[in-house]
Amino acid sequence: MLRLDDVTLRYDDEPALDRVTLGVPDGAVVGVLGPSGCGKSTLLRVVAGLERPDTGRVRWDDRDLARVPTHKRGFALMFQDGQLFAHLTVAANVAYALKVARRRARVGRRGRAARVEELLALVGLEGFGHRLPASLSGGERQRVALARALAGSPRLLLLDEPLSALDTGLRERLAGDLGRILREAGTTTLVVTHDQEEAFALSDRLVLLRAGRVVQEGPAAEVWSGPADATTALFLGYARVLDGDPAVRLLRAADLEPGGAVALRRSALEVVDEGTSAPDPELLAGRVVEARATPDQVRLVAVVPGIGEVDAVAPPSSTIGPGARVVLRVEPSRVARVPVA
Amino acid sequence: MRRALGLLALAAVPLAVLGVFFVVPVAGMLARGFFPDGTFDLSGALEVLGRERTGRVVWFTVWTSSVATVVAVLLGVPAAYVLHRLTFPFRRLVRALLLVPFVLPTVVVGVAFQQLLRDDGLLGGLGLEHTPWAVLMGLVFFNVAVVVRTVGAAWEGLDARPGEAAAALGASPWRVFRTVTWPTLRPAVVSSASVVFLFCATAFGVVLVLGGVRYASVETEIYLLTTTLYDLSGAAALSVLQLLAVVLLLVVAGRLRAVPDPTASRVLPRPHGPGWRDVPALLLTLAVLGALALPVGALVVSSLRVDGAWSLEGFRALQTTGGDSVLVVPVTEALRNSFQTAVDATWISLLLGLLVALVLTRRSRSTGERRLRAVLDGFFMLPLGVSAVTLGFGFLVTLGGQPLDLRTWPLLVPVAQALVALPLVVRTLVPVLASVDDRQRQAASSLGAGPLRVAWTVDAAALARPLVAAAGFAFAVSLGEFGATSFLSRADHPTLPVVIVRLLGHPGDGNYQMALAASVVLAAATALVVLLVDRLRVPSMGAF
Amino acid sequence: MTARTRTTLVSRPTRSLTTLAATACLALGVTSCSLVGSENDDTATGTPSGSSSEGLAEGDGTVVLLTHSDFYLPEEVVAAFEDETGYTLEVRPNDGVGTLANLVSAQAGAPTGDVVFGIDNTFGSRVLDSGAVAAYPGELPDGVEDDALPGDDAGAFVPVDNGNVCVNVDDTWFADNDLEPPATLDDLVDPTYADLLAIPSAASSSPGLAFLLTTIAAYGDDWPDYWASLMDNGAEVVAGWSEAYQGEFTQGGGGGDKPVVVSYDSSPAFTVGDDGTSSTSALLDTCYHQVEYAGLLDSAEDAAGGAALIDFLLSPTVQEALPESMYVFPVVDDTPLPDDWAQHAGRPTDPFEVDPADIEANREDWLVEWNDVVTR
Repeated sequence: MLRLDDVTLRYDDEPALDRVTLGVPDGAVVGVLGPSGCGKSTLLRVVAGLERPDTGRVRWDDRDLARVPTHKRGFALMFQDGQLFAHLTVAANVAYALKVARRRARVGRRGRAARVEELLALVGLEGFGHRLPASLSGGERQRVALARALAGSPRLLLLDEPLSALDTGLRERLAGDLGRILREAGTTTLVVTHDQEEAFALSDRLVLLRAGRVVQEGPAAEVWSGPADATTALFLGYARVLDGDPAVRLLRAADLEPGGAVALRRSALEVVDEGTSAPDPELLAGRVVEARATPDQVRLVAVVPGIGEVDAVAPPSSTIGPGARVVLRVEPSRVARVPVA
Repeated sequence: MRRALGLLALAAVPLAVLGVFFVVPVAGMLARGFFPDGTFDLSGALEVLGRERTGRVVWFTVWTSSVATVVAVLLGVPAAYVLHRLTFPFRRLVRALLLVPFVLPTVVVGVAFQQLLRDDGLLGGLGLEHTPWAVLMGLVFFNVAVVVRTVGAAWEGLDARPGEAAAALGASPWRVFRTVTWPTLRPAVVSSASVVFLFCATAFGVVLVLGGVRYASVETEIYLLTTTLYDLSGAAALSVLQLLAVVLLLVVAGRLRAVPDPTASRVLPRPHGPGWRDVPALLLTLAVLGALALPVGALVVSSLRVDGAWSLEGFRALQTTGGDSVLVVPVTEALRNSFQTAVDATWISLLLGLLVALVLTRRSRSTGERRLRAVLDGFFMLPLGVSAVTLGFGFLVTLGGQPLDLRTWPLLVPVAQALVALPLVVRTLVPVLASVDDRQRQAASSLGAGPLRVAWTVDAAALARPLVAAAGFAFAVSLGEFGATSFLSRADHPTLPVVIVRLLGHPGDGNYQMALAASVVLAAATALVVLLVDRLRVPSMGAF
Repeated sequence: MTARTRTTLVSRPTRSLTTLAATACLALGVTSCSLVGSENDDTATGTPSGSSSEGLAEGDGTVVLLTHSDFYLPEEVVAAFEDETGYTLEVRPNDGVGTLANLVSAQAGAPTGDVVFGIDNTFGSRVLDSGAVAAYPGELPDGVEDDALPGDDAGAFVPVDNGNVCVNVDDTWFADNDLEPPATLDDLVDPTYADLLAIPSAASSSPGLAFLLTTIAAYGDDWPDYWASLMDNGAEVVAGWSEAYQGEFTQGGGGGDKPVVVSYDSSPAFTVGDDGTSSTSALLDTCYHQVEYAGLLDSAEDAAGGAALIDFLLSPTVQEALPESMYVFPVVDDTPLPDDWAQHAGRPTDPFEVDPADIEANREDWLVEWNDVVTR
């Protein structure tokens, strides 16, 4: 397993990584999630051996990697845009990893060709072996890059924003494929990304990184449902974070114990009725100030007395517009309590 | 710190070569100038700088260089557009021929212009012989290719979409050029202009041969002070003045040359066929090509005319040692010597250039490292701008002593020529290496490839063609090099330009005819090399 | 990877590979992969010996000659020296006379060669003053003494050859134009001969400096006025001898249009036509006498070999070869001249001369003033 202890790295005295400690258990997929510039690519480069930390240790199975150069670490790094060798065919790109891999993973010429076909099949690109990278689509290139990264049977797979360069539809499809392939291959993986959906689709565990520091770490679902602070909640896709009295009122409406702040997803409040008064203490009354229709639902912004502006959703059939009075219900699974700093 | 040391280790070989063959000779000359009797004495130097004549010399250098630079840019930019953005038959051939003047030896160009400008020459009616205008024509003739290549390379790689967006918003073609194209081209134009200015301001042969004696530039003045008047203090003062100006210019050019991100991907437009709108640019380009072809044509014609009739006599004589055996070896053997020297100069400059380019293109991690890199970059460009006389005489004075007499070293001439070609090689390789995405190397390395294997997979693949191109360039420059070679070459091993000058220096029996024929052979050999190299299609070749 | 997708991607490099191979062949085929091709490794056979070398430093058998870039001796003459003495001769040319003189002066006491040849009487004093040249221990043949450098009391410089810088005229041109050619310096400022004269620059050429000295010797302190008149009369000043003679002169081969030029007294020997007459002649009243010297360098590594080389330069072998190889006259009495020279290269009886010490003292002032006049 991979362990980082107290890893710190500075560029021109600006800390890019600040006492980062984390672990990647064997067979697990750990996602490092953070906004751009938070140091997550640097983290990946440190693990790969492309950067040398100023202080702290990177270890694999208790062996310090400080003096092990990149090409002897037995890891494989896959970039956002694949970085295929443009002058080599798809098959040669994949075979490249087999040729230069550690001795253990090396195979003979015939075995190599078979293994290349097998890997291309795994990523769904049978018969693409003779093509040059420039003739492939973005998604195909990423698949080749993945096949190439997997070819050498790396001890650890490092993925740098593996899907970010692709467009939305393709990204969703490939995210599913990638998750399946990683689980099938059983490869220990560290993936860094700024995209929550990509992170959740791929990872068993999540590490949240901000300004070079680990702000939260844990199983993906736990991190999702319990953001460490308001900023984290907003980064995780929560629409608003309420504090003080509004938080108390909202938690009470959700039938939850008041205390601390509360983070709301966009769909945390649902319109149950139109009208001016709430018949029930668990319901809230508000006035719509903004409405926008989407294929799945109508998204609203409403002002609730004592709470202020909140986001809410209504069924797609509803015709609610700005100025309408609505009754709202809180969906407890879509709110998260946030400790106050 | 560790990285800075690594950087210096990689730079060690080129630094050592430049140190021995550039810094030591130049410093030796300056020391003789500033320590005339073993003690530091600036009075001689200051006295020279205070002379009225020095002021005149500096002014002549500045104004001719400025005007020549402006003219070269005005002619070069439209030609760059035509030759790099339009398609037409023989485009590549024209582009190759355009580079020929740049590598022709000054003596040959001098002879060619003489054929044109003398009273009975094609342009004799203009009365330009031995006027500043002749000097200007020569300077532009030599340097217009620099502008065309540099600006053309930038134009070729220009993303077409912003211009198209502006046009879609209703901007006229002129407005598109002014507001979108020009700002993107400006770094290339400014950078080529600064290099042209540098070449013009340090030109020696052109001023001496085409200007007659009425006009002196800083460079010819250094020659006069060093060789005839033995005023080394004065020469040192002018050399330092020149060096400071060059450093200043390099710093400014470096600032203006900075491009946002060399690895950014771009949409490269396809060159298109000429349209009506291109007519002015086409006409101007034709005029430029004609102007460049005239002196070369005059040279070829007079090499074939003997006593008013067509004859190959001059060419046939190339197998001999000339009338009265003025030469030590036949011209053909000198050509062979030239080729041999050029081979050595080429591999030396490639080796040095490759190391320098590697040093300059590694990604910097700190501002300190970036600064160190910038300083090294400027340092390796310096040979461009230092008086050949100071350097050549410095060689003779400093390198002869103990413990190591480099004067007898067989590789001396090739090394000197390699230093002349080095900036060109570096400028050809750097953009290519800089455009290699560092993550390609990291990807290979993370897959398990060792450093050599990474270099082979990524860098060698990217460098193969530019390296051959740079080789051709270094080869051509070495073929034509005269300045340093004339100081250093051995009597029994002359190169072609040295032989041409010797033939021109002796009367009688068709020697002059032979010199013309030898010049044509040299020009043809150079053109051939450049043409072969241009087939390799490296946009940055010959660009700054 | 967002660049426009190309469609023909598989086998693109072939054509450039062909070109690459062609380039490589061009380079290699011609030179068979050079590390500086042929080296002259002739090693000396036999024991070095020299008539005037007793008691001098002995080196490794190679004599190094520092000279200017116009130095040339035929291969068989060099071979004769090496055979006779057992030394190997290494020639190192250094640009023009000025550069050579300054180099040797700058290296005084720590020379990079054994012998210097080619310093003339315009630069001799400078080198002498620097102490770079040691006394020559040998005997001088008859006639050599006549050309000794004035002021060289110790006999350091050994005269080897001489020649005169004279105004040359194209007789054919003057005949065709029904004009009497000029004969004296005064004639050159006569409006009859306006726009006919080409002069190499005194600042950048050796014959140019010699012609300036001619006028200084002829007109004394009034020389600037003479030059002003020359310029007013349309004289053309160009960079060097080849620009003047081959570029401007009507008989120089380059199709020039000036029938009068500053050149050498030997020049008419090179314009001899099929009928055996020369189309040009030197004006013998306009000549400046130039002498080229050889000198043994002080603290030379192989002074004995150096002395042997100077002996050899005065031997009949070299003296007879001088006209054909370096276009100068021998200094040793009774040395036979080539036929063309004997017939056509007339020699002035009383050429102009300026004392070398005067030249050394005033060169800079004269050149600055000269430059002011011609660029006015």
